[in-house]
Amino acid sequence: MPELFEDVIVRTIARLLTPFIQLFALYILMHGHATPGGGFQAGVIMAASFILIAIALGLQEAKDRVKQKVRLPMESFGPLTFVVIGIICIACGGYYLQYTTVPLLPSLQAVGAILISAVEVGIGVTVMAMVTTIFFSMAGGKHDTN
Amino acid sequence: MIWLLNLALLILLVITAIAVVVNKDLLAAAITFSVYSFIMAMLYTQLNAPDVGLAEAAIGAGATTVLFIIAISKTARREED
Repeated sequence: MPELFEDVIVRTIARLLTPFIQLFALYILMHGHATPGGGFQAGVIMAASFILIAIALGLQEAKDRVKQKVRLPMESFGPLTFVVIGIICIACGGYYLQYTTVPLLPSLQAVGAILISAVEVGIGVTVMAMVTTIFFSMAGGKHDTN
Repeated sequence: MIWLLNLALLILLVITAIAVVVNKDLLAAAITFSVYSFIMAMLYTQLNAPDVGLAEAAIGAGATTVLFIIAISKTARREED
């Protein structure tokens, strides 16, 4: 990674823009079942906000915001969500990920929307952690353990 | 009239694709490739695939370009024949 880009305009714009990018990612995540978007796109946009922080404010600043201690469990969270929700659907008498059999609410559409959103959140968290990890391990030095 | 926009986008797409392949300066090629991804995202949206367009804009124009630039900063900027 090249040395820190010391420019007050770039640093201020990056610091101001980051929460809006993350809010947009959360919007795409929560509306993924109805509008374009979904877990994968939301995760990549969320990771892009951390890449922006790393470029403008320095790699260490971005690593402090998403620590490796937090990222490692997040990478396993998505597959775990898939397995748990799929097995819940099997336990309720349906196929793997057949949401309509889960007797959570009287409305089948509401159950489907809730469970699809839960799976999307899992995908988004995993993709965010993986893309930031790939970026950090490429941008860090030779003996850098993220 | 929308075909004019599509025609302009497709011509730009071909031009940027050739520029990526021909360019010897790898940093310029990486940035041109980001432009290519962005035009591709607009074309996907034109083809009624906003989902793919969103993914292309986020990954192709955002994440991949950053990874290319990191790889160039760790190796050489100029291509050698």
